[in-house]
This record gives sequence, C-alpha cells and structure tokens, in this order.
Amino acid sequence: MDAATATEHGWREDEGGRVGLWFFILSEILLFGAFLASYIGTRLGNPDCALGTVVWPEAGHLPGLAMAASNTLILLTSSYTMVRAISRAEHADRAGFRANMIATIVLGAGFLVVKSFEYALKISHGYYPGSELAAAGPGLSIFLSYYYALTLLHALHVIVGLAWNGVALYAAAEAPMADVARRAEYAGLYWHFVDVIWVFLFPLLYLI
Amino acid sequence: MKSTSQSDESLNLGVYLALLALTAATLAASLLTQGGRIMAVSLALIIASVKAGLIGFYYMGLRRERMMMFMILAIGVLAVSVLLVGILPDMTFRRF
Repeated sequence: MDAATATEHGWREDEGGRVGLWFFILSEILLFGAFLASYIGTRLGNPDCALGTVVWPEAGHLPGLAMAASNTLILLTSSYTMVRAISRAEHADRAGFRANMIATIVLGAGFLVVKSFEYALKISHGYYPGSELAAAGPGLSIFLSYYYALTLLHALHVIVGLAWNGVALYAAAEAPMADVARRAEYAGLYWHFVDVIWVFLFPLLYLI
Repeated sequence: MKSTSQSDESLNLGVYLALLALTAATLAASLLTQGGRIMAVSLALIIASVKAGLIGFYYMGLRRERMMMFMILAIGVLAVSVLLVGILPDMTFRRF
C-alpha cells in the first residue's frame, strides 16, 4: 500500500509515525521539565547556590565554560547538518544524505568527547558530589548533583540519538529514497530535540 | 514527506546563523548582567526559548505540521509551567 495515500480523514498514512514521535517527545519534555523545574526551584530557594550567580568556583571555570560553549556550537552545527541530510534525502540525493548524516554523527561523537574532557577537568578540581570540596559547601554539593544528573541524562540521549542516526545511515545503503527520507525525518526530530534540551542546559548550568 | 526547495535550504542556513548569533548573545548577556540575578535569569531563559522556537519551528518542521502536533507540545509546556509555578512560590519565599 502506498504510504502517502490519504485516509478518509485527510491524514496520510505516513503521518502516524510523526504523531507517535511527538508523543514520545512530549514524554521527554515532561522528564527534563520536571528535572529543570526542580533545579530552578532549588537554586531560587537556596542562598548557598542562588540562581543568578555562577556557582562554579573560579578554578577551572573558564576552560569548562569554553568546552561547554564549544559543545553548544557542535550541537547546533549537527542540527544544521541533520536538516541538510533530510533535505538531501527528500531530493533523492543518496550521496548528499550520507555525507551530511556522517557529519551529524561525527559532530555528535565530538560532543561526547568534549564532554568527557570537561568531566575530567571538573573531577580533577574536586567538583563532584562526595568530594571534600563539595562536603565543605552544601550549596555546591547540591548544584553538582544536579549538574551531573542533568548532563549525564542529556549525554545518554545523545548516545541514543547517535545510535538512531547510525541505523538511519546503515539502512540507507539500499533502501528506496522515500524510506530513507522518512527514517531521516524521524531521526532528525529526535536529534533536534536533544539539541533543544542542551540550549536550555547551557545557560542554566554554566552562566547563571 | 515534504519536499524542500532552494529557498528552504537558504532559510535553514539563515536559522543556523541566527542560532550562532543567539549563542553569542547568551554569553554576552551573562557577562553584562553579572550581579543582576533576575535580569540574568530572565535574559538567559528568553534567549534559550527563542533558540528552541527556531529549532522547533524550522528544523523540526512545526511550521508545516498539523494543529495536533502543537496540541501535543502544548501539553508538555503547560505541564512544566504548572510544575514551575507550583514550586517557585514555596522555594522563593521559604528559604531552607
């Protein structure tokens, strides 16, 4: 059956997948939204890590901020290459799709590499829950718990997104371009959402 | 599936450049508002919301979606807003 056939209600049959994906994204909004509401509320109510002043101690803050800003650029660029990959697939340009999807995957992997260096930097300065430094400052300890919970949860989503993109790329080898474009669109929806989450995490965790 | 045109590709590039500019604005705003807590938080969240809107509207294709997708999205935004509004008064006025 032709996937693009309109149903009696005016919906194309291939639109069902997008509806499902938007419901999935809704569940992710609720997950991250609950974490972020709790984080904002905690920092508003706690004078030791008040919202509006950077919590990070001075040592190592600027290199960490530079890495986080680099990761913001990396993810935004990966969103652009992803939208180009979808566009190429819709134009039945298999080589263009592959090149842009590979760029997206490389950039996503680059995000994780930079993130791991940033974690190493922070741990070397004693910025982790349970460290002597954190124990001496309850506000810092609370902040670090949120920082690692939110960034690790986000990194887990990046890993899932990379796997999804990898499957879309692998399946594009022989499949008809209409199927390639649909898979790319689904993978792209998720990847862009992962980018949106980072857009909120970056200022909330590093700048205020 | 929707086909994209040359103008769409130019638009996508424009959105990407706007996102980069807004990231620079986020960094600049944090430097300029140091010490002004409410201003710093408000500006950061406003810029982040504009960036998320650009990504959602153009890259995630919301500008071409049916009303149903907006309703699904609205459920999430409303639920998170209720959560924030429910938590903030207690956290703001009762310090722990």
